[in-house]
Amino acid sequence: MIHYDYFFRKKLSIEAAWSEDWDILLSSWDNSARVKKCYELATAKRKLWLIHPEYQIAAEDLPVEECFTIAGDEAEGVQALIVKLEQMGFDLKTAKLAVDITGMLRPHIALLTRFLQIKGCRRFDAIYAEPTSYNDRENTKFTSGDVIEVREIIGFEGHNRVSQDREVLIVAPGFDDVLLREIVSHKERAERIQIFGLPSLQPDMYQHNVLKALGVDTPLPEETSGIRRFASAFDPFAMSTELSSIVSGYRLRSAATRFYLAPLGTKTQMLGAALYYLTECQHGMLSILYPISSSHIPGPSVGISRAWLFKIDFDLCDSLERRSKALHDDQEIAK
Amino acid sequence: MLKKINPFNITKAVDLSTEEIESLWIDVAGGDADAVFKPTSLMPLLILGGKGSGKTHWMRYYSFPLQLFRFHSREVRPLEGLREDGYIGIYVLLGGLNFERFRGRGQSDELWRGLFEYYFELWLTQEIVQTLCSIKSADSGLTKYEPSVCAEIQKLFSDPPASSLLTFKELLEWCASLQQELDYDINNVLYSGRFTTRIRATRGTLIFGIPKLLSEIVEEFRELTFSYQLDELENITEGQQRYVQSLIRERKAPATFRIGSRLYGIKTHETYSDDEINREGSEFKQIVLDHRLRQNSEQWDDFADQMVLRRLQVFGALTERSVSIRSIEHIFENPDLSRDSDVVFKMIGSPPPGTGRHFDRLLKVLKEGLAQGRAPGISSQRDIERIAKAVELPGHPVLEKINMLTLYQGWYRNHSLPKLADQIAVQAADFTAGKSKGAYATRVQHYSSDMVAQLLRDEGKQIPLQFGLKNFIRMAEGLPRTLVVALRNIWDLAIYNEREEFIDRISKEDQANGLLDTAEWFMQTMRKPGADGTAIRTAIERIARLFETNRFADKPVECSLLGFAVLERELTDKTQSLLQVSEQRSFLIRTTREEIDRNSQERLAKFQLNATLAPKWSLPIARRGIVKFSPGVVDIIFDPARAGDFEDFHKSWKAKMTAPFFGGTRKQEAQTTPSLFEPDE
Repeated sequence: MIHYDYFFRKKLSIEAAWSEDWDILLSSWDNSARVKKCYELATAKRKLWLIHPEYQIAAEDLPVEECFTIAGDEAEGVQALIVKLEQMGFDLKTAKLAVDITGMLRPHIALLTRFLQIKGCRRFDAIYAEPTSYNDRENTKFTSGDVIEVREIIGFEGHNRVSQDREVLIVAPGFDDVLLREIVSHKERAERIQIFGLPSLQPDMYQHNVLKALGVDTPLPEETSGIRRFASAFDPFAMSTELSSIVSGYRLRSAATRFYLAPLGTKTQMLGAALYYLTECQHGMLSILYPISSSHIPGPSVGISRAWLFKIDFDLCDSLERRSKALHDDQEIAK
Repeated sequence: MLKKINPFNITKAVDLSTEEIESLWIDVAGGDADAVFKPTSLMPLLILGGKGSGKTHWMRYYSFPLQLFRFHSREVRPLEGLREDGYIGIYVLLGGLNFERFRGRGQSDELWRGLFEYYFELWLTQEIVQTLCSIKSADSGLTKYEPSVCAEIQKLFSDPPASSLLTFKELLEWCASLQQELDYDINNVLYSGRFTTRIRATRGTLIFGIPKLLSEIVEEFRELTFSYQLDELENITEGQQRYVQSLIRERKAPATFRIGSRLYGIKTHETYSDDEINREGSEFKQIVLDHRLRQNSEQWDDFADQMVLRRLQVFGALTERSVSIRSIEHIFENPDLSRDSDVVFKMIGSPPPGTGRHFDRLLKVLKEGLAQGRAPGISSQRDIERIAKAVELPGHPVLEKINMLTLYQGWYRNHSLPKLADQIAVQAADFTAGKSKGAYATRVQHYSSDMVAQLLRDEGKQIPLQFGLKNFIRMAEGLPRTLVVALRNIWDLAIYNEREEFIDRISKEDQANGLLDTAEWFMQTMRKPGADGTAIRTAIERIARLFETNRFADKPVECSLLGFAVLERELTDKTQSLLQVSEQRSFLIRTTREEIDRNSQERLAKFQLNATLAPKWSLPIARRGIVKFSPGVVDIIFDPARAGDFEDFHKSWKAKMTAPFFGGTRKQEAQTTPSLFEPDE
């Protein structure tokens, strides 16, 4: 397994402007206080609001600053965004890029990360702001429409094998239990492992999270050994590490296991899952799944409690992958 | 006595081991499942059924791993066993292939179709070559054919491998590498903008070509039917199903198909073969598993009994070697809720004569009727007391409720209540004296269950009233998994609540709570995602609420109401489609006999709420009452946006059954003009 603790993270002030000298900040507008605050504090030469039509925000509530609408599915949306950035004159290989993922839709977070890697970007900064609470506590809904389908996120589709003897669904449940139910029902024959955000963003959020995950074929406490895991809710690298640990554990027992990841909790969990996939699972038997909804509720959070900067370093990903591979090869030789 | 082991923990056939599939197999077709599945027949077969109807169990039972298991038991070599069986089942679970990825990303539908077809060819080729690997490892007799089979299979590809592959294993790895190449291309086409995969086989080349050459080369395969058993067809898109339909149409001996799908899973019968449509009887045959079981209740009861016994045996829950289903039935506490028993009387607290909540209610509505001039024949408090006394039958609360029901029914028709009460007293006396025929006796027979439910609810006891294995079997509506889940839930509770080492009694509380959990599970599991799913869930809840209101009303419009009839063609297209999906998802069961509308003489479609849901709303499970709804009302029920209209209807529905006004206003006479929403009695 790989430890992702090598990646750099730091807490950002929510009182004073950040001195990060970015060429451009990308941030998805969801009308929430925490997203607006980050946009205001970020020090970038240019700032671009990304508008997700799925939020169905009225024209009069959209920001007055420079905007770009991300329409279509994640592939169409992110592809168009990349073209837009290139048209704006940014060389993605060298530009200092900051992406505030707080308001961004989860499939877009994953695919944007992959697209940047493909386009030769070596590192970018991901920003995430934690709320003080959610509007309706554990009953907060993040999607308002119906789940149209559950599918693999484009670009995060693993290989299938005839010999795959078991399916494992690793799900990080969020408050939106509808999404959890959809995922579970879509892969109902898979073994299920749940990753809960702990420490959670706020002390009570862990309890709420567990409460909302109850009821979907809840196992008895004595049956949860090994299938209930924990990773810090705000930290993408903790999520990547936990995924690496779970999957490598299974692989030791059976190489022919097909994995599905479903990060439904915090946005950082999705970022962590994407990073894990890009580092260890490209061309492997693992996919990231997501329940695609027709619409999302903009900004269901209250306030801002902390803000974080995570340095997504693809060179480090490559190094870690090489090291892990070398270790694996050594073990094979030793056998 | 039973051990504290839950033999119903595994609820899905995909989770069962090969051995468990074999040992849990129950021959449902009257002793000859082969006559239904016809494994050697070249005619393709569609095996349809609701979720949990046993499709996967059927298909896995006839698959090669199970055949191999049986060869070991029969002590025959696999090649010989296959020759004897006359077929080989190649089971493929389509749900695990993530076929939804074949679309979008700036590529044309035509291109995706070609890639999907190639992918499918490669996948089935791998499945069949893997089966050959298994046969070879169990029977060296296949080894002599291996080089020639491998060589011939490679020739089927338009672009064979650079160096010749001599073993099944090498061939399998090569096919896997081709498929992975395609997986990789699909995952990266967004960035690369193009596919590098070369398509090396066209539709059917491998799927039909390999069985043909195997039957030509391998002596033991000469008369063998190669049955591709494709399970979970519902998990692939309409376009992809069209391809499968094309394969069915173009199939070439000795290959054929057995296709498993949920009722709603067949999205098309169209093909790419000159746009022809496959028709039942000509291109394929079809069986609907749960329909078969529902239509033959004796067969279903027998099947379910055997299934329960077999589970108890296979998973080691029995303390004795041999038990009968009757002795298992006795483990379930089954209180006698009939009118003769004193169980209900005790459950409602053994009230003194003329008291109890049912009398409180009667006195209240009579007083209100008197005050509002809506109680025919009553002019004083003395009349009220006389009526209450007349309907009294101490120690027989169910009959007292029947008396009150008779009174409410006459009240609705504006009969003089004191006179009616006297008649009721005479009828009740005759009945208790042994006169078992006549209107009163019929009323007792029809309404006892509803009256028991009312008595218990009045006492705040909102528990389901279905106890015992027979009832659980009836409630499962021909869906084996529903029965297994209900028993799993009940067993879990029984194990948890039993302090002794063994279980010799399953309490009525454990049964009731297990059934409530099962109803919740059913609502969650059977639902459909998307807007239609919301509409269906809303409609089912609304129908159940209406039936619940009826069951607990002063004057129900129907006894044991669990179904409705409607003139289906008058419904909007949307409602018709939602009704169909509700049926396909097993929320509603279309009853086979249609009803003739007495006004229009037209045939009405009849639907019954799935009895598994009954406990959630304290509904009955007997299929007795059917109420006629107008098409307009059913349109309202199935439209989530018309919540206000539904509440208005529900209000008027309830008012119609409630004393003293029975839907009329205070100034009106008791007999009122039927409203738009009036149920047909």
